[in-house]
Amino acid sequence: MLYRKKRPLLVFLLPSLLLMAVFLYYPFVENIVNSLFDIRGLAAARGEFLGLGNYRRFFSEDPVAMTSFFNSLKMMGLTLVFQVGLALMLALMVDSVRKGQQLFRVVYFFPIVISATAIGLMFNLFYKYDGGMLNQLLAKLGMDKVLWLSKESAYTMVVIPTLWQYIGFYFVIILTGLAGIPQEIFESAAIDGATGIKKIWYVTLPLISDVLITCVTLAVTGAIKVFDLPSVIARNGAPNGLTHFLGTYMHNQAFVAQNVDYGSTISVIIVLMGVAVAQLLNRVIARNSEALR
Amino acid sequence: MAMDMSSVRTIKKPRVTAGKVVIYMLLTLWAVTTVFPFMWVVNNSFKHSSLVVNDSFSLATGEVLRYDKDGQVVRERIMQDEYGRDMYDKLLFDADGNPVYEGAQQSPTINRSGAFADLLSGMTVPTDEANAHLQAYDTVNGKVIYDESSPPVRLSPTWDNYVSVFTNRNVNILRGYKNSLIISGSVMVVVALFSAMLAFGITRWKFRGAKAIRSLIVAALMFPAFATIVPVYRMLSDMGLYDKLEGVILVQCAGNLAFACTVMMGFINALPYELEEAAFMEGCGPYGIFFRIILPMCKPALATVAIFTFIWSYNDLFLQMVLLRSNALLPVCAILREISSQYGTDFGMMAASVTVVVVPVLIVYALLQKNIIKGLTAGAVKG
Repeated sequence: MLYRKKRPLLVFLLPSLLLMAVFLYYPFVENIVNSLFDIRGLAAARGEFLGLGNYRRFFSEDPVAMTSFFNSLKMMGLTLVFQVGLALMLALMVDSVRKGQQLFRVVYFFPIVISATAIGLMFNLFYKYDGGMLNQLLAKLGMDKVLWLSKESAYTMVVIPTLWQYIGFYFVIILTGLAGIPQEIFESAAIDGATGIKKIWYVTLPLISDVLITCVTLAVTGAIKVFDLPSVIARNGAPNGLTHFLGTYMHNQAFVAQNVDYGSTISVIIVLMGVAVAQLLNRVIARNSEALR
Repeated sequence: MAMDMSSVRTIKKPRVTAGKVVIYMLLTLWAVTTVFPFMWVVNNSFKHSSLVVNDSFSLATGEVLRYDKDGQVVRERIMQDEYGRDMYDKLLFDADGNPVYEGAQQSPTINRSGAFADLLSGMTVPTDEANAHLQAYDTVNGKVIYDESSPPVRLSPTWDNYVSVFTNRNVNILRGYKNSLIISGSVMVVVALFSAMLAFGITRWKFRGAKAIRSLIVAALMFPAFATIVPVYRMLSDMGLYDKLEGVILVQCAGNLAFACTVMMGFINALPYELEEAAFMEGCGPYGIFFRIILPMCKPALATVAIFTFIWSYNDLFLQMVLLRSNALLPVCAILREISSQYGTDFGMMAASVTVVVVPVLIVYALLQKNIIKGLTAGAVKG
């Protein structure tokens, strides 16, 4: 009776749906179609139908594409170990102490609100060969200067700030999860003789598995979308495209080299990877939770 | 519950154990990694670039640079004598920027009393020539006060970096702020309002297609900006919205709506119907109910959505880079990237730009940290 008339419904739904249809769903589909055609230039019309030609090119003919693909894949693994892993350790430690919890939360979280661009600029100042902070530090310790963004180390140097920035994020999520565990459970565990590592492994971790799963999913799917920091610290995948990620390589191909079709192909691969990883994680999680039962 | 917890806590006596100490040390160590980099940047933003390059760890206390008689660069520490006049203690530097105190090599501390005699005896310059050049006018206490014949360049503390950041024609950070506020502010308001409207419609009306819309929204959560950007770029060009703030606003709104709708649907669904029914009995229509009842009740969820949307939009470099080209329209992040590419070797200016961008965010964060942490993490968990 109250919500019967259809006109108000339309008024409420249309603005959002229209915006998303025009700027999200339609481009998403068009982008997939684009990846199957030959398009040279951002303003150029679709040319010849290539089928999966661009995808073949990505996986078999383009070494930089492979570099970016594996860089993104490696990034996922690293976020798992270093972001979620470190965040978990920090959260367990903060949870075990009483004083200063709030302070640690505030301090650990704050790099997240700073734009990745500003953080990238900051790390540029650290990594500079002449007069960069790290080399000054080495000089103080009486050591030789190091070329931080060399071929061998550039990837690591780009990854470090990316990982560092978001640890506090997962830390807060896990800490909130830990705070939700009822105290009685720990008390009864203590009566049963569970202490230290044993307590963490058999009592705490299973109880926050939901939270950990969320963190893992967010971290891994977030790793595919890495863009800002690499694009500020190592432009165009410098040196030699070695620090390209799927996102930066996509931008480079579509908007710098103007290989629009190929750029679209890379972005479709990003989506497919995201879906695949999410599915895989769901599978693993489902199996594990069955095993727990 | 809260009472129980606190009583449990007071019963246990806090013990200082070795383990606790180690834990606090590790935690503090991590805190240092998040805080120290920013402090380093802020400190160096008050130094001349040449000083940042040579000596980035010193505090930005008074130091000037000038040329001595031989055209050699010398750095001098600014001090005040007992009459409040500036006086300079001379520091010479070797090629690596390490201080060399000639004539007093055994003691690296600055010898203030009798410094004049020490310095002169240790310098390669013959005394009378040095005297002619350096005209000390306060030798009563044996302190060196150089004249102004070679105008000193102030190395630190200096506002020069900030002046060049704010007056630079190519990269105007203040204008960047304005653009950022216009873009992110509009996106925030539009997304909060539209998502609440959609959530209200979908949770209150029964209609065919509601399920399809819900799954479309969930699917949209998985779309990264990369996957839509090329067609969006081409479309905006056709519509004449490329390189316009409106274009970026529209695209960012669409990109944030999926997440915002998810949060709002969950929240509005849980609101009780009774108030709305009562309002209906009083003769209130669906629009009145939405604006007078639903929106006020949604404040916490709206705050979450608004904070998340604003920060996401403010920090999103990719769309800013792709959809805007004119310098006059660039928001803060895109400006920063420009600065790093054009003035990457000007360390002082880079440090000042980072500071200028970080400090306002920091102030807002300090004021709203509880809401921000809650907003961002809640958003992530639901998104």
